Amino acid sequence: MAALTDGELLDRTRAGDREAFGVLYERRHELVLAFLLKRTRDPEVAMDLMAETFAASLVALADRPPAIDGSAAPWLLTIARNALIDSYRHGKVESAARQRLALEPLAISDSDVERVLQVAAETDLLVRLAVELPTDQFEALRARILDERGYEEIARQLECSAAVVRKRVSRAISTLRQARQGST
Amino acid sequence: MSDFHSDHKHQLLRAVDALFGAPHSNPARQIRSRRRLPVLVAIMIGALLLAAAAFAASRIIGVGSPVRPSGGPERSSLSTGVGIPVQGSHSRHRSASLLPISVPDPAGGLPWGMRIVTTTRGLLCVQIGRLLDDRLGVLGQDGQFKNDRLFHELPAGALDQSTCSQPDVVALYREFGPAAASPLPGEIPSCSYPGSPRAEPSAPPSCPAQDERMIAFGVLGPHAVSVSYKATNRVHTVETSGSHGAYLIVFPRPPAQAPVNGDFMAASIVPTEQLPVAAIQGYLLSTIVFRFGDRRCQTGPEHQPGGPPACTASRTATPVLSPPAASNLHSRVTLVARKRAEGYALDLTFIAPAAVHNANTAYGAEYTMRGSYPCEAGGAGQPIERDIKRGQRVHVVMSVNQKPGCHGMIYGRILLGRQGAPLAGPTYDERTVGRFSFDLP
Repeated sequence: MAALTDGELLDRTRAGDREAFGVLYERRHELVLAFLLKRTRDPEVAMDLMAETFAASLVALADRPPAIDGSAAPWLLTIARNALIDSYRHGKVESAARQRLALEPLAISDSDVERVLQVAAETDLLVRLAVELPTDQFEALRARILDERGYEEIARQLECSAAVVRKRVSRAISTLRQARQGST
Repeated sequence: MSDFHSDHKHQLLRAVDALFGAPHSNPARQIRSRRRLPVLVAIMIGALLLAAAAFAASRIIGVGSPVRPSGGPERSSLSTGVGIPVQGSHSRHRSASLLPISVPDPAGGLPWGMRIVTTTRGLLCVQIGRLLDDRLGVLGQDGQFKNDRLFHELPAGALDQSTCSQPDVVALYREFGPAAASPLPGEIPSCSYPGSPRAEPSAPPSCPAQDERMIAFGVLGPHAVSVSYKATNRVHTVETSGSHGAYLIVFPRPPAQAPVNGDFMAASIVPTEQLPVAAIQGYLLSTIVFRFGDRRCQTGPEHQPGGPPACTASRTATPVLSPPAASNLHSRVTLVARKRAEGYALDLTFIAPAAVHNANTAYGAEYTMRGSYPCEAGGAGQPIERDIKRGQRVHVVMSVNQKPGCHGMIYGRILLGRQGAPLAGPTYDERTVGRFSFDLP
């Protein structure tokens, strides 16, 4: 099963194969965690958000299955980012998806936190994403979504116009969207 | 990889059984039976728990005490948080802020209305409620106001920061029950949402499923003309209202085809031309029509046949937030560390090199910690959500939780930047105002 693509694992998950989702979780949770830790800089909050992210992914899989041929990383990171923004907006980590799935709150120990920090140190988020997306989209996405920088600043660095950056980000978001929802 | 992860994974696999029907898990079946209840209850697509049947339009409804604005340390003031309504925007009766929108309740109860409140910190806040004699309010049932069955007027000052946005961005919202039905942050209703699992035996029971409402609303800006949405297998189109391009849609229950995944928040961070189609769809809209001069265009996941051509980026462009104007933004940061039981409190003081006049910009403090394992990473950030005069002395306290055996250096900075959303802290065009460091003993 380890040789299956993310998309194939998700298909199997929808068919009731619990182990398929387990493989996907093992394959992708470090990436999601590294992304969230980079943005929150708080291991416990990052773990909380990651738990909500994977729960939300199951909810999405049930209600609106994404059409994913290859990597599910963009789809998962989009969900993670939404969970992160929700937390900014509401001042707390949301648990709607976990509540819906009747998942119980989990305790986070010091050893968990230590392992999270270790994973983050060992996970090169950008390198892993670089292999998931076309180069220009990756560069724009990295700056806009992962680093949250303004279009003008990105344009200066990439030596192109802000309009070009907007277009690249739009295409990258479109790629994420297609991965997440199948069609737009 | 650890107890947390193995436990979390185990829970997820049980949820897979429950959702997708593995045959061997009875507990999961129980979850699945709950899961079949209204699809969007737990994903924040405006489930409003106000039973309409008991409040037929013809029925005389008593009036109870008005909703009180939230209190406590997080309460906004004239110059902090999201601010308070500017004078004149909180009229008790229909006014420029109470929009001429009246949407029938699907079950025949009081109609739904919408008010836009301009705050002293430059934000636009949206309030949704029921209309009674040109007043906006909430009903006392489904756990609200001790189920007194009365109408409780919603004053403009009872703002929910989660439905506030910068005025020059598109804002789409989907509301969840307590936020819209009860504008009292922190108030615990006596019943929970239909279909939501009881976390513990002492938790309140579920509200009646037939009470569920789903609302979608937003402000699309002055160029918006209309929005379309699908319901009962046909497309409905409603014109937007006023200069803010406001709309309000009320559904009897969440449609199964609605997307999931919480707030996309494209609303508050992306100008119109970047409004992702998925975000429009996510907020239950199929098409938005804009007008620029004498030309119209449409955007959205479902192009309306016979409608205007598709919008292009140049045609739908709207102004982006203006960047901070000050050039020299350097300031010296003074740090005084105080030992606490769980670590340290860092008292940071600096002289503001630029003013903050509203919630479009904000100062913030953040730090990262570098040290030996297990303290090799970590950090925290904290927005400073208030108006600040140039040259004003600003004081902020940051907490550092120090785990046993954790030593290292704290490296921090004071930032000034634009906020992507109210109370989010500096998000774009960040400038470093000053730096600080602390040797964590």
